Amino acid sequence: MLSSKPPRRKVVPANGDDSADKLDQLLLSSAISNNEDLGPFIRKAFTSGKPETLHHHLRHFARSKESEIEEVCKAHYQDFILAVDDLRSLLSDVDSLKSSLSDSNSRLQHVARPLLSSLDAFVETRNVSKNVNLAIDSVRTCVKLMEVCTRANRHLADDNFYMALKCVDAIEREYLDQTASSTLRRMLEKKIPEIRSYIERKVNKEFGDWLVEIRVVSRNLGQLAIGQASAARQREEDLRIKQRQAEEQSRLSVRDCIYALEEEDEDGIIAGGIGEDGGGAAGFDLTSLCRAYHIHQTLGLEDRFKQYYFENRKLQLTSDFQVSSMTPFLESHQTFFAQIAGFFVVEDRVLRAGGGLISKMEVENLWDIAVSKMCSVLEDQFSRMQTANHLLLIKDYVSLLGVTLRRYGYPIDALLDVLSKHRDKYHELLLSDCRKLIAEAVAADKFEQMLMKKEYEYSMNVLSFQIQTSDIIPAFPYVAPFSSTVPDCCRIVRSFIEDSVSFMSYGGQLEFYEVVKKYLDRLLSEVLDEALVKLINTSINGVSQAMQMAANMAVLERACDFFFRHAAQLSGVPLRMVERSRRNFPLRKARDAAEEMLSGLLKAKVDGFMTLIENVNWMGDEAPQSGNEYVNEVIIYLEILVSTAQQILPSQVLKRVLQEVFAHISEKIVGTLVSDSVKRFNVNAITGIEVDIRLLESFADNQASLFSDGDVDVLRASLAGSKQLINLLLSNHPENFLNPVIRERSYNTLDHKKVVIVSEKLRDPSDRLFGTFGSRGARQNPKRKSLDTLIKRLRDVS
Amino acid sequence: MGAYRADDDYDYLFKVVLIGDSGVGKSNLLSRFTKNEFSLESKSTIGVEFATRSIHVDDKIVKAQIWDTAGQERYRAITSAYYRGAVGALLVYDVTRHVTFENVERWLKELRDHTDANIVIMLVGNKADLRHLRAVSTDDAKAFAERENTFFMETSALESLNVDNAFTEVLTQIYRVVSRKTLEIGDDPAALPKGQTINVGSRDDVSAVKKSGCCSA
Repeated sequence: MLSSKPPRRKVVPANGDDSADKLDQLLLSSAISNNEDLGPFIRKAFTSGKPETLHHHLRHFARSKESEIEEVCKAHYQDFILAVDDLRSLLSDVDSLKSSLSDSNSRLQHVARPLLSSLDAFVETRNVSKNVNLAIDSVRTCVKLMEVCTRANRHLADDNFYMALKCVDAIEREYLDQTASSTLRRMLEKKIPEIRSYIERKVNKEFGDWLVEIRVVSRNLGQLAIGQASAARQREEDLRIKQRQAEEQSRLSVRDCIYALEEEDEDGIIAGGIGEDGGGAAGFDLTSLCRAYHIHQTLGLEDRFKQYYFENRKLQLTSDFQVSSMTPFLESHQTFFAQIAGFFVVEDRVLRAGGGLISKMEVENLWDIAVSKMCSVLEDQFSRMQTANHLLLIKDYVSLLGVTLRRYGYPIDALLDVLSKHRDKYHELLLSDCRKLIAEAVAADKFEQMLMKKEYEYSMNVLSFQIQTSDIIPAFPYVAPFSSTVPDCCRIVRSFIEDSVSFMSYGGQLEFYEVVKKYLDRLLSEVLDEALVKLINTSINGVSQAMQMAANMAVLERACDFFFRHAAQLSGVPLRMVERSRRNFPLRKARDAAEEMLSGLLKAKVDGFMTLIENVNWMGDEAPQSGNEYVNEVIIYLEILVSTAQQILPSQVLKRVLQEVFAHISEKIVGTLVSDSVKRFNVNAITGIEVDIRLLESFADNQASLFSDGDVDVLRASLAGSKQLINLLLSNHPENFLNPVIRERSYNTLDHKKVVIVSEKLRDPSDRLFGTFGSRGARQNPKRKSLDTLIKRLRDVS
Repeated sequence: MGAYRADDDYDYLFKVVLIGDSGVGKSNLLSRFTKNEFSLESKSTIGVEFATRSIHVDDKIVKAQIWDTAGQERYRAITSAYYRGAVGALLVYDVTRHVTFENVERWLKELRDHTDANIVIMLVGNKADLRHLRAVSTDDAKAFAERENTFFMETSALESLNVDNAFTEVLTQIYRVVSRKTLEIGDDPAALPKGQTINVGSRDDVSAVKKSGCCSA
């Protein structure tokens, strides 16, 4: 519009500081040209105290601009008028358009009204549809929920608690939040814990029933397990008996030795032991227990259930420990131990098949408690038992218990220690029992040889103890060399051996023969030997009884060999090892006592005959040619004695006894010569005594056939004392006794004092004739002189 | 019987004693019967305690004065005083401990040495709920009760099994004895009632008894 622009008028500055004002004006112009901020310049004007000048300049400038504006308005007046005309024209057009729009709107509304109704109906229908869909979804969810609930109820009704819990968990996890109905949700929130509690109570009740049932099952189980161990032991025992028989055959007859190996019957042993699946009647049911455990795991109560299980089982075990004082332990011990054994068979099964319900350490803890209790009970009961059989019964059952539980991996050393500890007591009781039995058997002895009418009697009393003297079965009726004491005592000793081995076997100690041998030695040397010694010293009445006892002792010596062999066999020790180690005869004191008793009685008997020596004519004119009366009587008696004794006494015993008797006779002869009953004697009398001694020696020679070694010098040697004395008196040179060499060779048994006494008594026949002529001197013979020299010298020595 | 009737109205006052080994549950039987309480704490009774409760028998109000004692030996000095005047006794053993049953015979002898011949005795096997720990069979106890002419029940103070039944039976029998003695004054006073074996009730019996309202709480 504006065609041209008037040029800008320059303002003439007022007079003042020319240099400073010029500089400021340049800067200001430059700032205005560059469109910079003029604030600093204005503030400077105010701070420098020159605002009036600035105001003056600004007002001047404003008036100049107003002039320019007026000029512009004058130039554009025409353009303004034209614009107003245009606006008036436009207003008219707008009114036309407005009317047109109003008509269009009316027509549009007229057309759209039916469509709007349809739209409203559509929207309403869609809302209904959505609500229906929501309802359908909700109902579908409820249907699923009800299905799960129904399933849960069915599982509950069928006691399928695990599946019921799974359903309940599913309901809680998947449906509880989705359930629209608050009523339904409240019901679920209330019922779900109730169902869980119900299941827990039900399962706990089942577990309680299982606990009650398993207690009865445990006792039967324990008895069955121990019964199996007993059967296995019986089979072992049978096998050992067969082996012993085979060994016996091989020892007796090498050529007939036959060895047969028998296969173990595997069918009789249930693989894996009692309680395994497929064990038939031996099995027991852990279903209730495993189910209860599983349910508690599912409920999240595993630890609590494990603790509950352990504590209640421990209480049951503690209850099993009660030993009734109303029933003797001898009657109740099998139930007591079987109950405990069964308990641990069950626990072993639970440990292996229970899925971690009980740990190995917990089972070991229970076992330690049980072992301590069983050991305590055994200690108490053993300490009060006074019968060996009772200890043996308990020990057998305990060892079977040990075998049974060791098979399940339970250590049983403590139990075996208790058995070992009471070994001494058991054997003391056995010894005490045997002492009574032996005393009874010994007291019942009639000192008569046993008569056996049948072969079985021989077998029972002789062969079973291997005391026969020949392998040939004798003719019946058979008269044994021993009396009833021998087989009776043998039976007692054999029973002791078997009882001792019974206690020691299966007691944990494999090599127990030394122990059995020790106690057997004690039985024989302390009990039997003492009883026999007492019998011999108090009850013997006469030579025949003493002879019977001596015979018995000889038989018992053979029996003792059998005893140790028997003990070795039962202990499983080879016989050759036993026979290699010879031992002393344990009944030596009794044997010595018997022989001493027999010898003593025989000596007393002989003394009776020896009193006849008083009838000897010590100053006779002639020597008796056929011996003095006393010696003939003695020889007759001894002949009768030997003919009787050789039937029952072994030759060695008889020889020892005769030695004693002969020595005694010799001593009596010497004693008589020394005694005051004989004042003097002559050579004729001494010659008679010499004949007597030769008669005795002849008798001894006749017994040579009795002795296996044919040695008769021993009997002769027994007469040495009297023979040497007589030889000295009959010698022409009695002073030779003073020669040590000759004395040692020919007169070694003589005592100096006796020689003096006896020598002084020797009288020549002439002494009597010259007795009346004491004053006259006589011529002495050389022998007399020698004898006087001997007497004088010996008297000087003494 | 008692002249003092200021606070309670009753027709008979019967003294009943509880005896048996320590730990068999005598005190819990007492508290269950008189206060319907059970305590899991095994606190030993010191000396003597007693409590009372009244029941109805044949339209009569029978008040039971029940004495509870310690089972330990050191409290046995009170024996004579404890038993004096007792007309009924509950002889309690623990079914899980056989030794407590074995000692029943000794308790019974002591009881009979110190009490009247007409005393009513109930043998009680407590803790019957511990089925898996049972050590005394029901048959053994029943045979003993028959042999000794006593009543017999198995109870559980924990589960309220047969507790009311045991006490109620004793009190009823005492009432019968007293009534008969009253009617038969001078006629055979030393007669001892024959023992009867009571069937061991299940838990339902207890509920039935409670529902019937025959006991006043």
